[in-house]
Amino acid sequence: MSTPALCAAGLSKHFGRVRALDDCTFDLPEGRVIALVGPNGAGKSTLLSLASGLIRPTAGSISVHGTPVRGRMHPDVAYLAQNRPLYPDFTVREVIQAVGAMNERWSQPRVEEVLDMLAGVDRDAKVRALSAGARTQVAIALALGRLPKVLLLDEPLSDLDPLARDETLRIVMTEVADRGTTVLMSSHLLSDLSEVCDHLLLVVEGQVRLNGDVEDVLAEHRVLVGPRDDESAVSGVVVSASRAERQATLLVRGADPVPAGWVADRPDLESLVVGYLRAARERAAARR
Amino acid sequence: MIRVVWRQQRAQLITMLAVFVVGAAALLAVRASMVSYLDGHALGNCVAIGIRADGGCGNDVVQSFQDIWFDRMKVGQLFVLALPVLVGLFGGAPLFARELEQGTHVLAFTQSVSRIRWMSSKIAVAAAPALVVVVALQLLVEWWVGAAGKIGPLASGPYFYATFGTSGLAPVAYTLFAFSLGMFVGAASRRTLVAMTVTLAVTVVLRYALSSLQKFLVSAQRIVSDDPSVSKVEPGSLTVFGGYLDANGNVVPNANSAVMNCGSKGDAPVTDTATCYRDHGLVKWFADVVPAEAAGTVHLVEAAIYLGLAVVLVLATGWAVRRQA
Amino acid sequence: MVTDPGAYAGGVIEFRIDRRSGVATYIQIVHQAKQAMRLGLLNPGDRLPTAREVVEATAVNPNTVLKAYRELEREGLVEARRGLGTFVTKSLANDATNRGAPLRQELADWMGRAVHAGLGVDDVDALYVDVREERYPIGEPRS
Repeated sequence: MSTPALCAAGLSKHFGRVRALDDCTFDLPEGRVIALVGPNGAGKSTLLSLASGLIRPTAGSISVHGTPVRGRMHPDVAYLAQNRPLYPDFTVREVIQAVGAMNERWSQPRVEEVLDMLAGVDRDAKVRALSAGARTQVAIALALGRLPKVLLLDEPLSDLDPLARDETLRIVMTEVADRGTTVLMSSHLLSDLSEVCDHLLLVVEGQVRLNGDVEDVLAEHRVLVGPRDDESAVSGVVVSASRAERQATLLVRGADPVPAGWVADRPDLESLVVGYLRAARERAAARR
Repeated sequence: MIRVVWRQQRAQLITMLAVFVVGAAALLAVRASMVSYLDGHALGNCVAIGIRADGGCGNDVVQSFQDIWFDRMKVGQLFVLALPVLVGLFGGAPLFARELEQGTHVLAFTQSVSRIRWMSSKIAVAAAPALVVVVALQLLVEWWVGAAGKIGPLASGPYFYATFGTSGLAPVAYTLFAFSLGMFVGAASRRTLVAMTVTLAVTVVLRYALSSLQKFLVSAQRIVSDDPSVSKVEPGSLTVFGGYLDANGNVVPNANSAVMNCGSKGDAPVTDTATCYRDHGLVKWFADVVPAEAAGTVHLVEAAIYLGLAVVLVLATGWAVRRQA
Repeated sequence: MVTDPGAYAGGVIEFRIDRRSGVATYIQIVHQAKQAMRLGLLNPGDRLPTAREVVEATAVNPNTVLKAYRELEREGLVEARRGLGTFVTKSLANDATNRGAPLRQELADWMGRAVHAGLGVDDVDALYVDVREERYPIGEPRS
């Protein structure tokens, strides 16, 4: 691959004493659909705000296609903010014109094309009268009008009904197919993303826990079920474990070979992520 | 960008235009009505010379005019006096605070337009029409009050609070200050209501404080009267300090007791007050005054203070907006 | 060419993605492409739907579609031609598997009798899998 789409080096953002992101270093490949996953308050929104230039890092740097992001919107990035900011007393048509006027590179036809893919966004409706789903879709259309190379979506599927969800995913996936756009989308619900993402960035407590191709990440992990008194036989790193009286179920990274007496299974994405999150919560509980 | 912020502020701008149209129409009508009163009562001459019994402009003639019109003109002046505060409250305070409250600033921040350009466009679109309206209404009120000449508020001189605050650069300076203050507090607090409250309080307090310091804004001139019993203060000027001088030309510190001694005492009236004063060491009368002709300079100094504060507030707003996420 | 309800202007076949199946999307696409080739719905020279067409129809990730096509290419079944699309190069259909084949006909007759006898889908599946596992024990290559 060429230069990474997004590259963070020692990236930190502190709000007072709270370390929303702490010393994160990672690369994200170009042209991928990346799931940014983590529990609420893990730093997902902070990461997206930093990548868009909406906020400045406390330390470290972040760059998009090799150009650093410095306190203002990167020209190759488009960002769907979580609260879908749109001027409430504008009509949809007016808000499109307004955003067009605020951009140097802008494709009106692209916005129209995206809106045309959607059922029932009335261009003459006031923004305040739109449903949550329609607001999200208009906001995504506006983001795509910037013709971005990197599309940052903060909780794009929250408060969407199933039809709007499907339409929205279709728009985003079509964008990837047409323009090879890199998509980084966050959700605290993995099920929203597991079916469409091919790359995983797991952020827990301000730190990156996993970053890789979904298939590779899954292939690295095993769910091992075996006798509880024989756990020492397991090689690799135990991510999380649940133990019954005699039996232990372990999520293990790099468990090769599988010890005798243990049954190995490939985890699915959901159970993998849940394993990491549970481990994080247990560590946090142990600290208290 | 200008078109976008114009559209955003359309409602406020239309409201302001409506205020202007209604205000201007009322002012024109009320002035016309006053002019016809002046003509109908043949007061044209009195407008030029003021209250003077020898010119046929005795107290009685003028009094009946002033009973009807003086307070009305003062209300007109107070309206112009209040306009800058209103601009600060309804133009400046919500300018950034409302967007920050609703989160819509993020829409602009996530496009390619720079924050500085976004900010300056918003300021220009909100402030420029407000200034035009304030100045236009100021000129209308000045025109109206001017029609009453020396039998209206202008007879009280240029430092009369209602006249001073509604003439010269004052309304522009107050407006720019109140607007910038509202804007800054709004950008820093992210709360429209907080910004409005602070703007109202600070503007009123500062206006009061600075108007009480008005006479110290330029250096005063000393007027001396050789007859200690006669003061020579010109009407319309502003007295900073007054008193008596001794034979060496020094200020007499406690002149009051001497003055008391020369007052009328029971059945023995003091006939020659001047001699009595001199006998008590009060050789000359003096006053440090800001003459009426210096009003233009006082306006300039006061405006410079307000505009300086406004510039600081605009820069502070820039800082506050840049650090918003 | 046999008309198929899934056929549409954009391509010869359309993929159906079952998100609840637990089977990775790209594997579903590989299977369905091979199935279509076996049934003679896709023949050498036919163009597979483009990633964009699949995305429009199913909202899957286009990278997943391309991954499935790379897998098919690795197996020597299709060939990507730059700027033109991905084309089928090999036939998996044979007389025994195409729609008019006698074996298929016999199976259809059998299933008709099963319906007549009042068997449900689960019963039919159970019978079919049972017999298949007798004849094709697990562990033997499937294709």
